[in-house]
Amino acid sequence: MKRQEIIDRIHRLLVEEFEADPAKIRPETDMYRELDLDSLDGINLITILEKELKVRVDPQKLRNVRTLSQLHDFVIEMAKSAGKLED
Amino acid sequence: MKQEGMKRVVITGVGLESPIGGTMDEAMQALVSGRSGVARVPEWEHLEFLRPKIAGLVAEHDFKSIPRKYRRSMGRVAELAASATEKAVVDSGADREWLSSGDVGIAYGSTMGSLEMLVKYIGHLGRVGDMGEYNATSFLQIMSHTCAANLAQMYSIRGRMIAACSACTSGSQAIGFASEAIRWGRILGAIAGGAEEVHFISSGTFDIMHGASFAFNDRPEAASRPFDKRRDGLVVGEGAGTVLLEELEHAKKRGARIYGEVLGFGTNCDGTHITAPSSDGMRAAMELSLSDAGLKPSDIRYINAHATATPRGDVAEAEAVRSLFGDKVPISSTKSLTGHTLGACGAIETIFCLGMMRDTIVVPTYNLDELDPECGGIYHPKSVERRELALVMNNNFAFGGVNSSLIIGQVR
Repeated sequence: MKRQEIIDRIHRLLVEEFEADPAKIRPETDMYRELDLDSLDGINLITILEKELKVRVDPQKLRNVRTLSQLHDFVIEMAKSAGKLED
Repeated sequence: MKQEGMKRVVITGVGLESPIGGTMDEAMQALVSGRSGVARVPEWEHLEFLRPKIAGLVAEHDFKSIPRKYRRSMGRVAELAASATEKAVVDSGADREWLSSGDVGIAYGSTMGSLEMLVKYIGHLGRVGDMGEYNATSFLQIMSHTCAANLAQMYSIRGRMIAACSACTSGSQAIGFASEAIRWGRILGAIAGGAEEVHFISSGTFDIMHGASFAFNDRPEAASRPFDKRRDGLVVGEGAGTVLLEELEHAKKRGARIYGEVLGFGTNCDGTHITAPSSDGMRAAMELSLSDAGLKPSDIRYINAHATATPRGDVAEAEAVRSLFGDKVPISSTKSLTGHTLGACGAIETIFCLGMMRDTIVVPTYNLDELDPECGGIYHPKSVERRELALVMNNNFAFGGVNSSLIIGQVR
Protein backbone atom coordinates (compact mmCIF):
# COMPACT_ATOMS: atom_id res chain seq x y z
CA MET A 1 0.00 0.00 0.00
CA LYS A 2 1.10 3.51 -0.69
CA ARG A 3 1.16 6.09 2.10
CA GLN A 4 -1.75 8.03 0.62
CA GLU A 5 -3.84 4.86 0.31
CA ILE A 6 -3.30 4.17 4.01
CA ILE A 7 -4.26 7.72 4.94
CA ASP A 8 -7.38 7.53 2.76
CA ARG A 9 -8.33 4.22 4.36
CA ILE A 10 -8.00 5.72 7.87
CA HIS A 11 -10.16 8.67 6.90
CA ARG A 12 -12.80 6.46 5.33
CA LEU A 13 -12.92 4.35 8.48
CA LEU A 14 -13.27 7.41 10.68
CA VAL A 15 -16.19 8.71 8.62
CA GLU A 16 -17.96 5.43 7.86
CA GLU A 17 -17.41 3.40 11.00
CA PHE A 18 -16.99 6.11 13.59
CA GLU A 19 -19.32 8.70 12.04
CA ALA A 20 -16.70 11.44 12.16
CA ASP A 21 -17.61 14.75 10.53
CA PRO A 22 -15.68 14.77 7.19
CA ALA A 23 -15.14 18.52 7.56
CA LYS A 24 -13.09 17.84 10.67
CA ILE A 25 -10.67 15.41 8.99
CA ARG A 26 -7.43 17.40 9.08
CA PRO A 27 -3.89 16.37 10.08
CA GLU A 28 -3.96 18.51 13.21
CA THR A 29 -7.38 17.24 14.38
CA ASP A 30 -7.32 15.72 17.86
CA MET A 31 -9.34 12.53 17.33
CA TYR A 32 -10.35 12.22 20.96
CA ARG A 33 -11.27 15.83 21.59
CA GLU A 34 -12.58 16.89 18.20
CA LEU A 35 -13.96 13.68 16.67
CA ASP A 36 -15.55 12.52 19.91
CA LEU A 37 -13.67 9.24 19.96
CA ASP A 38 -12.45 7.59 23.15
CA SER A 39 -9.96 4.88 24.02
CA LEU A 40 -12.46 2.10 23.17
CA ASP A 41 -12.92 3.61 19.70
CA GLY A 42 -9.15 3.91 19.32
CA ILE A 43 -8.77 0.22 20.07
CA ASN A 44 -11.57 -0.69 17.64
CA LEU A 45 -10.01 1.44 14.90
CA ILE A 46 -6.62 -0.19 15.34
CA THR A 47 -8.20 -3.67 15.56
CA ILE A 48 -9.76 -3.20 12.12
CA LEU A 49 -6.43 -2.06 10.67
CA GLU A 50 -4.55 -4.87 12.41
CA LYS A 51 -6.77 -7.38 10.67
CA GLU A 52 -6.47 -5.68 7.30
CA LEU A 53 -2.69 -5.46 7.55
CA LYS A 54 -2.31 -8.80 9.33
CA VAL A 55 -0.11 -7.40 12.08
CA ARG A 56 -0.52 -6.90 15.84
CA VAL A 57 0.68 -3.72 17.51
CA ASP A 58 1.84 -2.81 20.99
CA PRO A 59 -1.23 -1.17 22.54
CA GLN A 60 0.97 0.94 24.82
CA LYS A 61 2.23 2.85 21.79
CA LEU A 62 -1.32 3.89 20.90
CA ARG A 63 -1.43 6.03 24.02
CA ASN A 64 0.75 8.69 22.44
CA VAL A 65 -1.46 9.00 19.39
CA ARG A 66 -3.89 11.91 19.52
CA THR A 67 -3.84 13.83 16.25
CA LEU A 68 -4.72 12.39 12.88
CA SER A 69 -1.21 13.12 11.70
CA GLN A 70 0.14 10.98 14.56
CA LEU A 71 -2.42 8.32 13.66
CA HIS A 72 -1.25 8.34 10.02
CA ASP A 73 2.37 7.82 11.14
CA PHE A 74 1.32 5.09 13.56
CA VAL A 75 -0.57 3.09 10.93
CA ILE A 76 2.09 3.65 8.26
CA GLU A 77 4.56 2.21 10.77
CA MET A 78 2.19 -0.75 11.24
CA ALA A 79 2.11 -1.31 7.46
CA LYS A 80 5.88 -1.06 7.30
CA SER A 81 6.37 -3.67 10.01
CA ALA A 82 3.95 -5.92 8.13
CA GLY A 83 6.00 -5.45 4.99
CA LYS A 84 3.05 -3.86 3.21
CA LEU A 85 4.30 -0.33 2.66
CA GLU A 86 5.19 0.61 -0.91
CA ASP A 87 7.41 3.61 -1.52
CA MET B 1 -46.37 -7.40 53.38
CA LYS B 2 -45.66 -3.70 53.36
CA GLN B 3 -44.35 -2.22 56.55
CA GLU B 4 -44.90 1.08 58.26
CA GLY B 5 -42.83 3.90 56.81
CA MET B 6 -42.39 2.25 53.43
CA LYS B 7 -42.42 4.54 50.43
CA ARG B 8 -45.06 4.35 47.72
CA VAL B 9 -44.05 3.80 44.10
CA VAL B 10 -45.76 5.30 41.06
CA ILE B 11 -45.28 5.15 37.31
CA THR B 12 -44.72 8.58 35.78
CA GLY B 13 -43.45 7.75 32.30
CA VAL B 14 -43.98 5.03 29.71
CA GLY B 15 -42.08 4.14 26.54
CA LEU B 16 -42.87 1.43 24.02
CA GLU B 17 -41.41 -0.38 21.06
CA SER B 18 -43.91 -3.11 20.32
CA PRO B 19 -45.24 -5.08 17.37
CA ILE B 20 -48.52 -3.16 17.71
CA GLY B 21 -47.10 0.30 18.10
CA GLY B 22 -44.46 2.63 19.43
CA THR B 23 -46.72 4.67 21.70
CA MET B 24 -49.36 3.82 24.27
CA ASP B 25 -52.02 5.47 22.10
CA GLU B 26 -51.06 3.49 19.00
CA ALA B 27 -50.96 0.24 20.99
CA MET B 28 -54.34 0.97 22.58
CA GLN B 29 -55.89 1.51 19.14
CA ALA B 30 -54.57 -1.89 18.07
CA LEU B 31 -55.78 -3.52 21.30
CA VAL B 32 -59.26 -2.11 20.78
CA SER B 33 -59.52 -2.88 17.06
CA GLY B 34 -57.71 -6.23 17.20
CA ARG B 35 -54.94 -5.21 14.79
CA SER B 36 -52.22 -7.86 14.97
CA GLY B 37 -48.49 -7.19 14.95
CA VAL B 38 -47.63 -10.70 13.82
CA ALA B 39 -46.30 -11.03 10.27
CA ARG B 40 -44.30 -13.31 7.96
CA VAL B 41 -40.55 -12.95 8.36
CA PRO B 42 -39.04 -12.84 4.84
CA GLU B 43 -35.56 -13.80 6.13
CA TRP B 44 -36.92 -17.06 7.54
CA GLU B 45 -38.54 -18.30 4.32
CA HIS B 46 -35.45 -20.20 3.16
CA LEU B 47 -34.62 -21.72 6.57
CA GLU B 48 -35.77 -25.29 5.99
CA PHE B 49 -35.04 -26.40 9.53
CA LEU B 50 -37.39 -23.76 10.93
CA ARG B 51 -41.09 -24.50 10.77
CA PRO B 52 -42.47 -21.19 12.14
CA LYS B 53 -42.23 -18.40 9.55
CA ILE B 54 -43.92 -15.69 11.57
CA ALA B 55 -43.08 -13.28 14.39
CA GLY B 56 -44.26 -10.15 16.14
CA LEU B 57 -42.00 -7.51 14.65
CA VAL B 58 -41.31 -3.90 15.55
CA ALA B 59 -41.70 -1.61 12.52
CA GLU B 60 -38.51 -0.69 10.63
CA HIS B 61 -36.55 1.81 12.56
CA ASP B 62 -33.45 3.93 12.22
CA PHE B 63 -31.65 3.87 15.53
CA LYS B 64 -29.21 6.55 14.39
CA SER B 65 -30.90 8.99 16.75
CA ILE B 66 -29.09 7.14 19.54
CA PRO B 67 -25.68 8.83 19.77
CA ARG B 68 -22.91 6.68 18.25
CA LYS B 69 -21.00 6.62 21.51
CA TYR B 70 -23.88 4.69 23.10
CA ARG B 71 -24.96 2.79 19.98
CA ARG B 72 -21.52 1.20 19.43
CA SER B 73 -22.03 -1.18 22.36
CA MET B 74 -25.65 -2.01 21.50
CA GLY B 75 -27.12 -4.84 19.48
CA ARG B 76 -30.74 -4.62 18.39
CA VAL B 77 -32.07 -5.67 21.81
CA ALA B 78 -30.34 -2.75 23.52
CA GLU B 79 -31.30 -0.37 20.70
CA LEU B 80 -34.96 -1.27 21.22
CA ALA B 81 -34.49 -0.75 24.97
CA ALA B 82 -32.81 2.61 24.39
CA SER B 83 -35.52 3.78 22.04
CA ALA B 84 -38.34 2.83 24.43
CA THR B 85 -36.47 4.34 27.36
CA GLU B 86 -35.90 7.68 25.68
CA LYS B 87 -39.65 7.83 25.03
CA ALA B 88 -40.35 7.03 28.70
CA VAL B 89 -37.93 9.67 29.94
CA VAL B 90 -39.40 12.34 27.65
CA ASP B 91 -42.92 11.24 28.61
CA SER B 92 -42.15 11.53 32.31
CA GLY B 93 -40.84 15.07 32.04
CA ALA B 94 -38.24 14.07 34.64
CA ASP B 95 -35.17 16.23 34.95
CA ARG B 96 -32.18 14.48 33.37
CA GLU B 97 -29.95 15.81 36.11
CA TRP B 98 -32.13 13.97 38.60
CA LEU B 99 -31.65 10.75 36.63
CA SER B 100 -27.89 11.06 37.08
CA SER B 101 -28.01 12.31 40.67
CA GLY B 102 -27.38 8.92 42.26
CA ASP B 103 -30.97 8.80 43.55
CA VAL B 104 -32.12 6.89 40.46
CA GLY B 105 -31.34 3.30 39.52
CA ILE B 106 -31.68 1.15 36.45
CA ALA B 107 -33.57 -2.15 36.39
CA TYR B 108 -33.71 -3.82 33.01
CA GLY B 109 -33.56 -7.27 31.54
CA SER B 110 -33.77 -9.42 28.45
CA THR B 111 -33.55 -13.16 27.83
CA MET B 112 -30.11 -12.74 26.31
CA GLY B 113 -27.89 -10.08 24.85
CA SER B 114 -28.02 -9.58 21.10
CA LEU B 115 -28.46 -12.95 19.42
CA GLU B 116 -27.77 -11.41 16.03
CA MET B 117 -24.31 -10.37 17.22
CA LEU B 118 -23.66 -13.62 19.05
CA VAL B 119 -24.45 -15.64 15.93
CA LYS B 120 -22.35 -13.34 13.78
CA TYR B 121 -19.22 -13.84 15.86
CA ILE B 122 -19.71 -17.45 16.92
CA GLY B 123 -20.66 -18.34 13.34
CA HIS B 124 -17.40 -16.87 12.08
CA LEU B 125 -15.46 -18.64 14.83
CA GLY B 126 -16.99 -21.97 13.82
CA ARG B 127 -16.39 -21.48 10.10
CA VAL B 128 -13.01 -19.80 10.07
CA GLY B 129 -11.55 -20.53 13.50
CA ASP B 130 -10.64 -16.98 14.45
CA MET B 131 -12.52 -14.11 16.09
CA GLY B 132 -13.17 -12.28 12.82
CA GLU B 133 -14.64 -8.83 13.24
CA TYR B 134 -14.99 -9.29 17.00
CA ASN B 135 -13.79 -6.05 18.55
CA ALA B 136 -13.64 -4.18 21.84
CA THR B 137 -17.39 -3.47 21.84
CA SER B 138 -18.69 -6.85 20.60
CA PHE B 139 -18.99 -8.45 24.01
CA LEU B 140 -20.87 -5.41 25.30
CA GLN B 141 -23.62 -6.17 22.76
CA ILE B 142 -23.79 -9.85 23.69
CA MET B 143 -23.49 -9.87 27.49
CA SER B 144 -26.56 -10.68 29.52
CA HIS B 145 -26.96 -7.25 31.10
CA THR B 146 -26.37 -5.34 27.87
CA CYS B 147 -29.65 -3.38 28.16
CA ALA B 148 -29.13 -2.24 31.75
CA ALA B 149 -25.45 -1.50 31.15
CA ASN B 150 -26.04 0.56 28.03
CA LEU B 151 -28.95 2.48 29.52
CA ALA B 152 -26.84 3.28 32.58
CA GLN B 153 -24.36 5.03 30.28
CA MET B 154 -27.01 6.84 28.25
CA TYR B 155 -28.59 8.40 31.30
CA SER B 156 -25.46 8.63 33.47
CA ILE B 157 -27.20 6.49 36.09
CA ARG B 158 -25.32 6.43 39.38
CA GLY B 159 -27.80 4.55 41.55
CA ARG B 160 -28.07 0.77 41.73
CA MET B 161 -28.34 -1.59 38.77
CA ILE B 162 -30.75 -4.52 38.80
CA ALA B 163 -30.12 -6.67 35.73
CA ALA B 164 -33.24 -8.83 35.81
CA CYS B 165 -32.35 -11.35 33.12
CA SER B 166 -34.84 -14.15 33.70
CA ALA B 167 -36.19 -14.74 30.19
CA CYS B 168 -39.94 -14.12 30.04
CA THR B 169 -40.16 -12.57 33.52
CA SER B 170 -37.28 -10.11 32.89
CA GLY B 171 -39.48 -7.06 32.36
CA SER B 172 -41.89 -7.72 35.20
CA GLN B 173 -39.14 -8.65 37.66
CA ALA B 174 -37.25 -5.47 36.71
CA ILE B 175 -40.32 -3.40 37.59
CA GLY B 176 -40.95 -5.46 40.73
CA PHE B 177 -37.42 -5.43 42.09
CA ALA B 178 -36.96 -1.72 41.33
CA SER B 179 -40.26 -0.96 43.07
CA GLU B 180 -39.05 -2.83 46.15
CA ALA B 181 -35.82 -0.82 46.14
CA ILE B 182 -37.80 2.44 46.01
CA ARG B 183 -40.18 1.25 48.73
CA TRP B 184 -37.25 0.58 51.01
CA GLY B 185 -35.84 4.03 50.28
CA ARG B 186 -32.69 2.71 48.61
CA ILE B 187 -33.39 4.80 45.52
CA LEU B 188 -35.95 7.52 44.73
CA GLY B 189 -36.63 6.41 41.18
CA ALA B 190 -35.72 3.90 38.51
CA ILE B 191 -35.77 3.32 34.81
CA ALA B 192 -37.30 -0.15 34.61
CA GLY B 193 -38.28 -2.50 31.84
CA GLY B 194 -37.43 -5.31 29.50
CA ALA B 195 -36.49 -5.88 25.88
CA GLU B 196 -36.03 -8.61 23.29
CA GLU B 197 -34.93 -8.82 19.66
CA VAL B 198 -36.39 -11.40 17.33
CA HIS B 199 -34.01 -14.03 16.05
CA PHE B 200 -34.75 -17.32 14.34
CA ILE B 201 -32.89 -19.08 17.16
CA SER B 202 -35.60 -18.01 19.64
CA SER B 203 -38.31 -19.30 17.36
CA GLY B 204 -36.28 -22.44 16.57
CA THR B 205 -35.77 -23.12 20.28
CA PHE B 206 -39.51 -23.22 20.88
CA ASP B 207 -39.97 -25.17 17.64
CA ILE B 208 -37.62 -27.90 18.90
CA MET B 209 -39.57 -27.99 22.16
CA HIS B 210 -42.84 -28.34 20.21
CA GLY B 211 -43.89 -25.01 21.66
CA ALA B 212 -43.92 -22.73 18.58
CA SER B 213 -46.85 -22.13 16.27
CA PHE B 214 -46.48 -22.97 12.57
CA ALA B 215 -49.97 -24.21 11.64
CA PHE B 216 -51.02 -20.64 10.88
CA ASN B 217 -47.96 -19.53 8.89
CA ASP B 218 -50.28 -18.53 6.05
CA ARG B 219 -52.50 -16.48 8.39
CA PRO B 220 -50.01 -14.72 10.68
CA GLU B 221 -52.65 -12.59 12.40
CA ALA B 222 -54.47 -15.75 13.52
CA ALA B 223 -51.41 -17.63 14.75
CA SER B 224 -51.20 -16.39 18.34
CA ARG B 225 -54.33 -17.82 19.94
CA PRO B 226 -54.03 -18.13 23.73
CA PHE B 227 -56.66 -20.32 25.43
CA ASP B 228 -58.08 -21.36 22.04
CA LYS B 229 -58.72 -25.00 21.24
CA ARG B 230 -56.71 -24.84 18.03
CA ARG B 231 -53.64 -23.09 19.50
CA ASP B 232 -50.42 -24.77 18.45
CA GLY B 233 -47.79 -22.84 20.33
CA LEU B 234 -46.40 -19.37 20.78
CA VAL B 235 -45.29 -16.84 18.20
CA VAL B 236 -42.07 -15.10 19.20
CA GLY B 237 -42.06 -11.33 19.18
CA GLU B 238 -39.71 -8.48 19.84
CA GLY B 239 -39.91 -5.11 21.48
CA ALA B 240 -39.17 -3.13 24.58
CA GLY B 241 -41.16 -1.54 27.34
CA THR B 242 -39.83 1.02 29.79
CA VAL B 243 -41.50 2.70 32.73
CA LEU B 244 -40.14 5.44 34.92
CA LEU B 245 -40.77 4.46 38.53
CA GLU B 246 -40.79 7.22 41.09
CA GLU B 247 -41.38 7.61 44.78
CA LEU B 248 -44.88 9.09 45.19
CA GLU B 249 -43.96 12.24 47.12
CA HIS B 250 -41.16 13.03 44.69
CA ALA B 251 -43.55 12.67 41.77
CA LYS B 252 -46.19 14.84 43.43
CA LYS B 253 -43.68 17.52 44.29
CA ARG B 254 -42.64 17.99 40.70
CA GLY B 255 -46.23 17.80 39.48
CA ALA B 256 -45.67 14.66 37.42
CA ARG B 257 -48.51 12.92 35.62
CA ILE B 258 -49.10 9.60 37.37
CA TYR B 259 -50.23 6.59 35.35
CA GLY B 260 -50.62 4.28 38.31
CA GLU B 261 -49.11 2.90 41.48
CA VAL B 262 -47.16 -0.33 41.86
CA LEU B 263 -49.04 -1.85 44.78
CA GLY B 264 -47.97 -5.45 44.81
CA PHE B 265 -45.19 -7.68 43.59
CA GLY B 266 -44.91 -11.39 44.09
CA THR B 267 -42.22 -13.58 42.63
CA ASN B 268 -41.14 -17.13 43.35
CA CYS B 269 -39.80 -20.33 41.84
CA ASP B 270 -41.58 -23.62 41.26
CA GLY B 271 -38.49 -25.62 42.08
CA THR B 272 -39.94 -28.57 40.24
CA HIS B 273 -39.11 -28.56 36.52
CA ILE B 274 -36.92 -26.44 34.27
CA THR B 275 -39.62 -25.90 31.62
CA ALA B 276 -42.93 -27.46 32.69
CA PRO B 277 -45.34 -24.88 34.09
CA SER B 278 -46.65 -25.33 37.63
CA SER B 279 -50.13 -24.17 38.43
CA ASP B 280 -49.30 -24.19 42.15
CA GLY B 281 -46.24 -21.98 41.64
CA MET B 282 -48.21 -19.53 39.53
CA ARG B 283 -50.97 -19.31 42.09
CA ALA B 284 -48.46 -18.83 44.90
CA ALA B 285 -46.91 -15.86 43.05
CA MET B 286 -50.34 -14.25 42.63
CA GLU B 287 -51.06 -14.80 46.32
CA LEU B 288 -47.72 -13.23 47.24
CA SER B 289 -48.57 -10.20 45.14
CA LEU B 290 -52.03 -9.86 46.69
CA SER B 291 -50.59 -10.19 50.17
CA ASP B 292 -47.90 -7.65 49.34
CA ALA B 293 -50.58 -5.18 48.28
CA GLY B 294 -52.84 -6.05 51.21
CA LEU B 295 -55.62 -7.07 48.83
CA LYS B 296 -57.93 -10.01 48.32
CA PRO B 297 -58.66 -11.70 44.97
CA SER B 298 -62.07 -10.04 44.63
CA ASP B 299 -60.41 -6.59 44.64
CA ILE B 300 -58.73 -7.25 41.28
CA ARG B 301 -60.65 -5.87 38.28
CA TYR B 302 -58.60 -7.27 35.39
CA ILE B 303 -55.81 -9.81 34.89
CA ASN B 304 -53.35 -9.54 32.04
CA ALA B 305 -52.47 -13.18 31.52
CA HIS B 306 -49.06 -14.48 30.56
CA ALA B 307 -50.84 -17.02 28.29
CA THR B 308 -48.46 -17.52 25.39
CA ALA B 309 -50.65 -20.08 23.57
CA THR B 310 -48.58 -23.14 24.42
CA PRO B 311 -50.80 -26.14 25.11
CA ARG B 312 -49.63 -26.74 28.70
CA GLY B 313 -48.82 -23.21 29.85
CA ASP B 314 -52.28 -21.81 29.17
CA VAL B 315 -53.97 -24.71 30.98
CA ALA B 316 -51.76 -24.35 34.06
CA GLU B 317 -52.38 -20.61 34.17
CA ALA B 318 -56.13 -20.96 33.71
CA GLU B 319 -56.17 -23.49 36.53
CA ALA B 320 -54.24 -21.17 38.86
CA VAL B 321 -56.49 -18.21 38.07
CA ARG B 322 -59.65 -20.32 38.39
CA SER B 323 -58.68 -21.63 41.79
CA LEU B 324 -57.87 -18.16 43.12
CA PHE B 325 -60.28 -15.81 41.34
CA GLY B 326 -63.11 -18.05 40.10
CA ASP B 327 -64.93 -16.81 37.00
CA LYS B 328 -65.64 -13.19 37.91
CA VAL B 329 -62.43 -11.33 37.04
CA PRO B 330 -61.89 -10.54 33.35
CA ILE B 331 -58.67 -12.00 32.01
CA SER B 332 -57.04 -11.70 28.59
CA SER B 333 -53.77 -12.29 26.83
CA THR B 334 -52.57 -9.36 24.77
CA LYS B 335 -49.98 -11.71 23.29
CA SER B 336 -52.75 -12.67 20.87
CA LEU B 337 -51.78 -9.48 19.00
CA THR B 338 -48.10 -9.00 19.86
CA GLY B 339 -46.85 -12.57 19.99
CA HIS B 340 -44.63 -13.43 22.91
CA THR B 341 -42.03 -10.70 23.32
CA LEU B 342 -40.12 -12.80 25.90
CA GLY B 343 -37.93 -10.52 28.04
CA ALA B 344 -39.98 -7.49 27.04
CA CYS B 345 -43.47 -8.83 27.70
CA GLY B 346 -43.70 -8.05 31.41
CA ALA B 347 -42.98 -4.38 30.82
CA ILE B 348 -44.95 -4.06 27.59
CA GLU B 349 -47.99 -5.68 29.21
CA THR B 350 -47.66 -3.44 32.26
CA ILE B 351 -47.96 -0.48 29.89
CA PHE B 352 -50.97 -2.08 28.18
CA CYS B 353 -52.56 -2.44 31.64
CA LEU B 354 -51.93 1.25 32.33
CA GLY B 355 -53.54 2.08 28.98
CA MET B 356 -56.61 0.01 29.79
CA MET B 357 -56.84 1.68 33.22
CA ARG B 358 -56.59 5.11 31.59
CA ASP B 359 -59.19 4.33 28.93
CA THR B 360 -61.43 2.36 31.33
CA ILE B 361 -61.61 -0.67 29.07
CA VAL B 362 -60.76 -4.33 29.11
CA VAL B 363 -59.69 -5.93 25.83
CA PRO B 364 -60.38 -9.56 24.96
CA THR B 365 -57.97 -12.30 23.91
CA TYR B 366 -58.09 -12.17 20.13
CA ASN B 367 -58.23 -15.37 18.06
CA LEU B 368 -60.05 -17.04 20.93
CA ASP B 369 -62.63 -18.57 18.60
CA GLU B 370 -63.34 -21.74 20.51
CA LEU B 371 -62.33 -21.95 24.14
CA ASP B 372 -60.26 -24.95 25.16
CA PRO B 373 -62.45 -26.48 27.90
CA GLU B 374 -59.34 -26.94 30.02
CA CYS B 375 -58.90 -23.15 29.96
CA GLY B 376 -62.49 -22.56 31.04
CA GLY B 377 -64.02 -21.61 34.36
CA ILE B 378 -62.44 -18.15 34.20
CA TYR B 379 -63.93 -15.02 32.68
CA HIS B 380 -62.77 -14.46 29.08
CA PRO B 381 -64.32 -11.24 27.74
CA LYS B 382 -65.62 -11.80 24.20
CA SER B 383 -65.21 -8.18 23.13
CA VAL B 384 -63.90 -4.88 24.44
CA GLU B 385 -65.70 -4.11 27.69
CA ARG B 386 -66.00 -0.75 29.37
CA ARG B 387 -64.86 -1.07 32.97
CA GLU B 388 -63.40 1.07 35.71
CA LEU B 389 -60.10 -0.57 36.52
CA ALA B 390 -58.98 0.49 39.97
CA LEU B 391 -56.72 -2.53 40.40
CA VAL B 392 -55.16 -4.81 37.80
CA MET B 393 -52.81 -7.77 37.94
CA ASN B 394 -50.11 -8.55 35.38
CA ASN B 395 -48.72 -12.09 35.44
CA ASN B 396 -45.64 -13.49 33.75
CA PHE B 397 -43.89 -16.84 33.92
CA ALA B 398 -40.55 -18.06 32.61
CA PHE B 399 -38.33 -21.05 31.99
CA GLY B 400 -36.65 -22.07 35.20
CA GLY B 401 -40.01 -22.21 36.94
CA VAL B 402 -39.99 -18.45 37.55
CA ASN B 403 -43.28 -16.75 38.36
CA SER B 404 -44.01 -13.06 38.69
CA SER B 405 -47.15 -11.14 39.52
CA LEU B 406 -47.50 -7.36 39.63
CA ILE B 407 -50.49 -5.41 40.93
CA ILE B 408 -50.96 -1.90 39.60
CA GLY B 409 -53.62 0.46 40.83
CA GLN B 410 -54.91 3.97 40.45
CA VAL B 411 -53.36 6.29 43.01
CA ARG B 412 -55.65 6.91 45.93
